[in-house]
Amino acid sequence: MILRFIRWFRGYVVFAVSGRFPERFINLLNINGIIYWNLLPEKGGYRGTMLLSDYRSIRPLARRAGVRLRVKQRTGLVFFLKKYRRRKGLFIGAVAAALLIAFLSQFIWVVRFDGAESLSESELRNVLSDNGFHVGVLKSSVDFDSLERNMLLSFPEIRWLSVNTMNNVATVEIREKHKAPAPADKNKPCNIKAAFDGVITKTTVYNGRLETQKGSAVSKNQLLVSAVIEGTNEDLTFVHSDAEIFADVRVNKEFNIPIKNYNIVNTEEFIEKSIANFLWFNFPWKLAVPENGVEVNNFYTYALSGGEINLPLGRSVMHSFYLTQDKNVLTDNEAKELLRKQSALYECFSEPKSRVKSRDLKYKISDDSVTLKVNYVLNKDIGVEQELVVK
Amino acid sequence: MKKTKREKGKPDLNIELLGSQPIIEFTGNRSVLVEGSTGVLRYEDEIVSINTRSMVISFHGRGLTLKCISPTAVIIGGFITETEFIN
Repeated sequence: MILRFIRWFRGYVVFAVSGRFPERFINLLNINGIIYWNLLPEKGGYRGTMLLSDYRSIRPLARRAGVRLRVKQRTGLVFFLKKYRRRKGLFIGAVAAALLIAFLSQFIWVVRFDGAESLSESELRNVLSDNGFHVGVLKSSVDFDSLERNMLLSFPEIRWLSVNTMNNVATVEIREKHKAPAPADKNKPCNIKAAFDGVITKTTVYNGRLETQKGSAVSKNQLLVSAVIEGTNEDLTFVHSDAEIFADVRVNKEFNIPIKNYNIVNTEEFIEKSIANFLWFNFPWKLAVPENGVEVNNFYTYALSGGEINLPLGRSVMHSFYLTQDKNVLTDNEAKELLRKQSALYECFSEPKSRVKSRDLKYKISDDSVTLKVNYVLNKDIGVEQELVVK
Repeated sequence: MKKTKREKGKPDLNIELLGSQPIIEFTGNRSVLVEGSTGVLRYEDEIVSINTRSMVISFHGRGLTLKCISPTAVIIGGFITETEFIN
């Protein structure tokens, strides 16, 4: 392939040799070290291929051998250029395109991120941009060491970062820190106290001395498991108490919802403003003046893509949606249903580890709101560690 | 016996013993290498004659081509049916 390209670049001709002693011509070529290939016999002589530069120098040899040379085919850059020599626009265009490609190759047109799991890509882009690294930046103007250092300082969550460039694509390789769980200080002695009033239903003590028993009523802050253990010789040992103390706890919750709601509703009507992006420049594409009113804006960016690479040519579109205020009056049943859902959400998300033993729902309807009072009996672990300070 | 540096470069077969004889190496009947050629005397589709110092070697066949040629060696490709030595 490379050889073919070199031959094409230098130009070569297919020539036919005819005459009285064509074989002598071969011998003369060999003696003079002239390279040729594809030497094929044909009627009255043979045909071969030779570089253009060599072909220009073999006339004297042909005369000596008494043969006649005829060019059958010309191939190569020289002939190509000669063929299109009058179409100067093509050459100018080709040269301009080559120069443009060479010039634009000096810039970064795509920034990719690899390994950013918890970090926001837009935040990373913003910080990179603050440090002078963005789409359209000149590659040679970027101090990559400084950029990487600043990024590491800006994001303590990153343990390793590298900005690699290949052609016009910059890949920011990121390795985030593994968050180590906070080591529980199991050496410090602590008691376990009750976080709520309740009746003990189950006790499991892993360490410490149980100060209550199943069926006992306990009040908030009452000692449940003691860190002080007496030995047989009346010596005291302080331990880190560890236990699960489940108790039935009464919890009262109140949920309220107004009957008249004012919601902001998207009317689905929007005006479109767009900007054409080309290289570093933005040109107005479609202008629109919004009328007075509340609006919400959605941005979209469409870039012309070549394979996986976005080209520096595209369009940014902003849709400004008009919003209206919608008055919504709930019926009693609708309000009650919404309140039931709120209480279910409370049980699910606020008390995920508790078991609801019973719930008593009471609705109170006033002129402007509906209130739900729920008396829960929850079975939950009420133990909370409290450090024991030994003086 | 250990070969000297100069001897290592030489082929096992002592060409001097052969004098001006060419070395011919066939690969089946599809290719032949002639070492010690001094020129091509005839080059046609069905016959290729190679001159050497001591003789003329003619190869007859079909679709004969000069695959490679240098001042002292020639490789002929094609379907060789007959070899003729003319002293």
